[in-house]
Amino acid sequence: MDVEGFIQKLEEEFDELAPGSLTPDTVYAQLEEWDSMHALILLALVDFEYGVFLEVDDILSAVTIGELFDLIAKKAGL
Amino acid sequence: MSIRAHIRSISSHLPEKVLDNAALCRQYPDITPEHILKHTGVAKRHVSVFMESGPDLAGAAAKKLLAENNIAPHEIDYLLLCSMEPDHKAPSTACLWQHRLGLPTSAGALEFNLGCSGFIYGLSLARGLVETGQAKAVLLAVGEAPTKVIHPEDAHLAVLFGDGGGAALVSAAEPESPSGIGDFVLGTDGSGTSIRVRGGAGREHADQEWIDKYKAVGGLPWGRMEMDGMAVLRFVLATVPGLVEKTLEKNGLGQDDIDLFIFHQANGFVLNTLCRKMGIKKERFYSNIQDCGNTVSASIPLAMSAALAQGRIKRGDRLLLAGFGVGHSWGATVVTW
Repeated sequence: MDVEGFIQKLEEEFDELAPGSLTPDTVYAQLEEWDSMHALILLALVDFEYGVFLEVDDILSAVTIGELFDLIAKKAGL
Repeated sequence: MSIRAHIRSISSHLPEKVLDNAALCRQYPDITPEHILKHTGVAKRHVSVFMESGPDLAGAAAKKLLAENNIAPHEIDYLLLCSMEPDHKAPSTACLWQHRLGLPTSAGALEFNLGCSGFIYGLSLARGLVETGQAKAVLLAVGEAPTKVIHPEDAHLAVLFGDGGGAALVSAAEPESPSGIGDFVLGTDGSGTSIRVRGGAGREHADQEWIDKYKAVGGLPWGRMEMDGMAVLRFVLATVPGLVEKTLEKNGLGQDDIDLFIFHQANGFVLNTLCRKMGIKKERFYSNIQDCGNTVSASIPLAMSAALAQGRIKRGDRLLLAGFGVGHSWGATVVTW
């Protein structure tokens, strides 16, 4: 599991996003398409793929995709 | 020989007025019909008229059940009525409907309020009443009018919820019939606050301040629903897969033994996420949320009625029914049709 794999899965789930539009430095809350539904999709994806429940605060505290991935990896004990 | 309870028949009722996504979007110019369908799975919902209550919708479904199946009211010896909103503080709405349905005065009547898991709990009570010989024919009626507790500014609720009612008749199965109601798994976590209706009841009644605050939208005298979508999703993902697993185990079955999974129609996205997480085959996972939205305790009988009408349920099929939500409260069982 690495950040590139995470980004690929995110781009598959958020079907408005073209492949290659996310990087580890993307500030995801500032994506034009980002809305509260994406937070739910993200939560479901992370539960399904990594067996980790994100808290609302986790999503708010991590600014970039890379930071979010580090948080997931830490929670998943990887 | 011991008595085995089964669901003899099921009916449902939806209010006449239909609000499709295009009509709803006229109130919410920022969202599109496609956006609603994609994110909630709902294409239209039915809306009760002023003073048409949840129990009214339950009563209408009960009337329909009696008429459609040629059941005389005197055959019913117990009425269970579930709704979030009693018509009066007293008497119990179940007592009022004993009279309105023409049930005998020798019938028991009991009202309870539970929400999304209400139909499952009602089935559990009905099975207990029949199998212990306390009743022969239990009429379980559920009905909800959540649109009455939605503030127009809460678009995320307005797109998701709809009003409706359902009814089931639970009685003893013929000895040679395969049909029955299996064992239940139930659970409660009263610390869960992801879904609430504030105001409109004892501890938080709609006082003058409340009515004044919501004057522009009719005062919201029945209360205002609040829902934290993230917290709901967390609760559902943490609870429902285990609930289903335990229910299969308790009934000595595996996932492949179930012909159709019918869950509380919470939200299309939540249902798809659950289906994916549990690895349930899509053709065995039923949903009708597109036609009526989330109708709280009425969603399971509404889904069962629709599935029966579409020929998706055949005699002898095993159905896994699961309800979960406000409370938090959850429950599931396996019904053999």
